[in-house]
Amino acid sequence: MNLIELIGRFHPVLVHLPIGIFVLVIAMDGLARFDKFSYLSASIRLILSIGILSAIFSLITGYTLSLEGSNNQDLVDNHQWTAIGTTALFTAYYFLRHKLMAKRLAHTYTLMLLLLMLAWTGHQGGSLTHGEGFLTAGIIETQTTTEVELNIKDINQALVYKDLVQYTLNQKCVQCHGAEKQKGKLRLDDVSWIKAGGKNGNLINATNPAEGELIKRILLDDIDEHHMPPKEKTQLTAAELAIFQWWINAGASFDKSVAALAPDAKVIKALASFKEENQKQVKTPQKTRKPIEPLEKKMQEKLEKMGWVVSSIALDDNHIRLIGYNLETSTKDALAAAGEISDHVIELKLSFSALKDNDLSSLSKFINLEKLWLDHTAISDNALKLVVELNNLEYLNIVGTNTTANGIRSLMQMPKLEKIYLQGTKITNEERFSLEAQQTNAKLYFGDSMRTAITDTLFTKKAE
Amino acid sequence: MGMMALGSVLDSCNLFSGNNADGSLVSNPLSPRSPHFQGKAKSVIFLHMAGAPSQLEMFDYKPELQKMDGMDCPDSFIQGKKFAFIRGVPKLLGPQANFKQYGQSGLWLSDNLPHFQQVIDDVSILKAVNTDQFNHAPAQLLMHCGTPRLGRPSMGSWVTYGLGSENSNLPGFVVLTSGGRNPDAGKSIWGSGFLPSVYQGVQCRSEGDPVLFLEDPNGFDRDMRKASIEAINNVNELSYAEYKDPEILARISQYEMAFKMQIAVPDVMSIADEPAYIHEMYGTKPGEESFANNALLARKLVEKGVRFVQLFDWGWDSHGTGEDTALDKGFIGKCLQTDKAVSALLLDLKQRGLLEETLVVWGGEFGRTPMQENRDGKQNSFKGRDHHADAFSMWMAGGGIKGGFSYGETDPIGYNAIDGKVSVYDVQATILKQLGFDHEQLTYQFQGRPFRLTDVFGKPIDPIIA
Repeated sequence: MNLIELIGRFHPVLVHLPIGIFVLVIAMDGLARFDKFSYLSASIRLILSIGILSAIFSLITGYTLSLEGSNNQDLVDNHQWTAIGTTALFTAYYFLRHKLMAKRLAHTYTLMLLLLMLAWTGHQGGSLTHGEGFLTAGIIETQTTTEVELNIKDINQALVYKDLVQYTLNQKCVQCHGAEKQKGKLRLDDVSWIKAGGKNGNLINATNPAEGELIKRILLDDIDEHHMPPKEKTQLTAAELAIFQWWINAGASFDKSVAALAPDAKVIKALASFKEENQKQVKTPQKTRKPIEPLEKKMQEKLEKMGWVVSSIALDDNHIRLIGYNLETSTKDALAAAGEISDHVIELKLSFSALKDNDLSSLSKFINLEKLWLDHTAISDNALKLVVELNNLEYLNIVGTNTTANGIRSLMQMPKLEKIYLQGTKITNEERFSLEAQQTNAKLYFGDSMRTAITDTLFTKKAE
Repeated sequence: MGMMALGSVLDSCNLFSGNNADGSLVSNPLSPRSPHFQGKAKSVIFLHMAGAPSQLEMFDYKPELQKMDGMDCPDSFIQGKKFAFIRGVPKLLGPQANFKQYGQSGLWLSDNLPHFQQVIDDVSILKAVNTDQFNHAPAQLLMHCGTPRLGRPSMGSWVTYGLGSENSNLPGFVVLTSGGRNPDAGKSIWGSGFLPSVYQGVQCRSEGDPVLFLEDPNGFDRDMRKASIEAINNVNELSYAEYKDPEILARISQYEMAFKMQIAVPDVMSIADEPAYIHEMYGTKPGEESFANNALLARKLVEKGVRFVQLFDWGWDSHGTGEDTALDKGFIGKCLQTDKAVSALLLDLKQRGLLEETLVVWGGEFGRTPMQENRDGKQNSFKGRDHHADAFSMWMAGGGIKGGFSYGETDPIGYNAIDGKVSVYDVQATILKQLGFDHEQLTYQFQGRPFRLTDVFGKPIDPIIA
C-alpha cells in the first residue's frame, strides 16, 4: 500500500468529524434562538469554521479513496458531488448566517435543508461501506431475485428464450441489470430491453453471433474484468453456458421451442443437466448453529495447558473442535475442565487416550456435541449409556473399543445420529446381521475386509 | 483514533499475522487455526506417482484408440507441438490393458487395477486434467507449489500454515517416498518456500529409524535433553524479543517438537504392531521400504492428527526404452505394487470413520501420449508413451468429495480434453476448498505483495464436491 492509498483509507474515520460538528452547529443554532441559550450564538461561527475545515480534509481523503476504484462507481460519484455540495452549503451559510438570522422562517428552513443534505451524504457513504440496503435490511424485505418456478415437463416443448435463457437471466443477471438497477445502462428482464442493448452496444449480433456483447462477456475468462457475471457473483453453470451458446449461434430467436432449434448431442446433455440443476433448487439447507461468543482467551489457555488442542470451527463460527491426543492430566479432570465450555464444543476427539468409562461422567454436559471420537480406548457399554443423552450427536466413532451389541442397540433411537463406526468392537457376526436388519436412522459401519484379487505374477499378460 | 485506523489497515494486510492478540511474544506457529469456513476435510493424503502414470492403461478407456493402433498420428495433433522425446510422425498405440465397468457407478477400470474396483464407488475420477509442463521437475513443482519454478511453498506447507497441527507431538506435514528414488523435482516440492520453515514437510523413512539423529546419544538421558532444550529456547526467546525474526519462532518450536517426537514418532512410524489382517490387506512387510508400508503409515499418521501426508512413489515414467518402463511389463508391475495398498488405504480409512475427514488425492505430474514413443524418430524397443500435458487422469476420494463419479472427458483417442477440462490450479483450489479455504484468500505477504498457492488462477471443481 502506498502513501496516497493510506491517506484515502483515513476517509471513513475522518468523515465523522465534520458530520459531528455540523450536527452540533445546527443544534446550537436552533437552541440559540431561545433566550436561555442565546450565549451559544457567540461560538457558532468558530465551530462552524472548524467544521468546514475538517469537511475539506474529508473531501480530500474521500477523493483519494475514490481513486482506488469501486464496483459501485455510480454511487461513489453521487456521494462525491453531494459531499461537495454539502460542504459548499455550509460554507455559504457561514457567510450568510447573520443575514438569515433576521428572517426566522427562512433560517428554520435553511437549518432543515442543511440537516437533510448532511444526512443524505452520510447515508450514501454508509451505503458504500456497508452495502446498499444495510440500514433497512431488517425492516424492508427486498426481493433480490425474481423467483420463477421452473415448470418444464417436456424439455422439447420448452421455449428456448423464455423458459431457459430468460429464466437464467432472471436468476443470475437481473439483480444488477433489471428494474431496480441498470448497471452499464443495461436491462435484461425483458425482450425489448435485451434488444435495446446497453451503453457498450448491442447484446446480440445478427451477422456475427460470436461478436454479440452478451455471449462475448459471458465467455471471457473470469479473471478478465469485463467478464460477466462479475467474478464474486454466482457464475453460469456449464449447462447454462452451453444453452446460451447454442441459442445465440442458432440466431437468438425469441419464440422458438427447443425442438425447433434442433439440439445436438452436446446440447441435449446440457438441457438434461439444466433441468436437473434447476429442479433440485430445494437444496439441503446449510447447517445453522446458534451463534456463540468467541472462547475466552484465559479459558483456552487453561485447556491448552492440560494438553487439549483447541480450535474454533471457522473464522465465522466460534464453536470449538476439542482434541485430546496428548492430555497431560487425567482424562477425567481434563473433561471436567472442558465441561466449563461445553456449550462451545461441537466436536470432541478422545481417540487413543487413556479413557475409561467412569472418566466420562461429565460427558452429558456437552449438549451441542455433533461429532464424538472415543475410538481406540478402553470404554465399554457403560460409556454408551452417557452417549445416548447427546441429542445433537451426528457422528460417533467407537472403533477398537470393548463395546458390544447391547450397548449399540441403546444408540439406535438417538434423534440425529447419522453414522456409527464400529469396526473392531466386540460384536459377533450373528449380532452384526441382526443389527443390520434393524431399521435405524444411523448407518452402521462394521468394517469390511478386502478381497484379494488373483494376480499370478508381477508381469501379467497384455491386452488381447 | 488515527493510530487505531492505521492499526486496522495494517492488520488487514495479513490474515494470519504471527503475533498473539494479547501481545505475548512467543506463539506456537503450529497451534491450530480456523479456516475461512467449516471445511469437510481436516487432513490430506496426496499419493503422487512420480514419473507420470499412463491414464490410458488405468482410467481413461479409449476403444477407438485400439482400432487405430499402429496408424500414423494425424498431423493435426502434432503440428506445432513439442514433445519431450517424440520426433517426426509417431504411431498411435492402442490401450495395453483390458477395461471393464465396475461398481454401482459403472466406471471403467483397467485390469491393471484388480483391487481398485472395491473402492471405486468412493472415488471421483477427473479425466481431463491439464498442465502446461511436459518435463518431470517443473510439472511436479507446478502440481505441488503452483509454479514450475523453484522457491514457492508447497501445498502441504500452505495447508499447515493455514490450519496448524492437531497433534503437538508430531509434525504437521510428513513426506514418505518409495520406489528407490526421490521425485525429480527434489525436496523443493515439500519445501516451505518463503513461509516460515516450520511448515516444511518432514521426510520420514519407512525403513530403519524413521527420522535420522532423533535418538539421544548414550549416557544422555531425557531430563538432561529437556534441560538443554529449555536453555536453548530461553536464549532464542531473548533474541526473538530483540530481532522479531519469525525464523527464531520456527526454530523454538522445532526444538520442542524434536523433543516430543523422540517418543511419539517411533511409535506412530512402526507398523510392526499392526494386526495380521491389516498387513494382509495392504500387502505390507515391516522393515522394508515400500509404497504399501507408506500407505499404511499414512493411515496411522492421519489417525493421529497429522495434517498433510505426502507419498511419492518413483518409477512411473513408462517410455518403453527398457523392460522396466514397458507398458506391458514394468508398468503393470508398478500398478500391481500400488493397487492393493491404495485400495486398502481407502477401505481402511472408511471403516475407521476417517475417510469423511480425510481427502485422498491420487495422480502424477502429467499424463502420457496416445502415441507410442519414437525416441529420436526411431520406434522404441518396448511399448511406451511419451509425456503428455494436455489431458490426464487424477482422482480424489473422501473429505466431502462425491463417490463413484467421473468428471471430464477426452477425445476418442485421449489426446485433448473435450469436456470438463480442469487445470492443476483447479485441483489445488478444490483441495483448499475442502479444507475450508477460499484459495484466493489464503495468502502470505512476501516481497511487497500477497502470494497464494494458485497464483492468479484456479477455480474449485464444484461438480465433484458432494
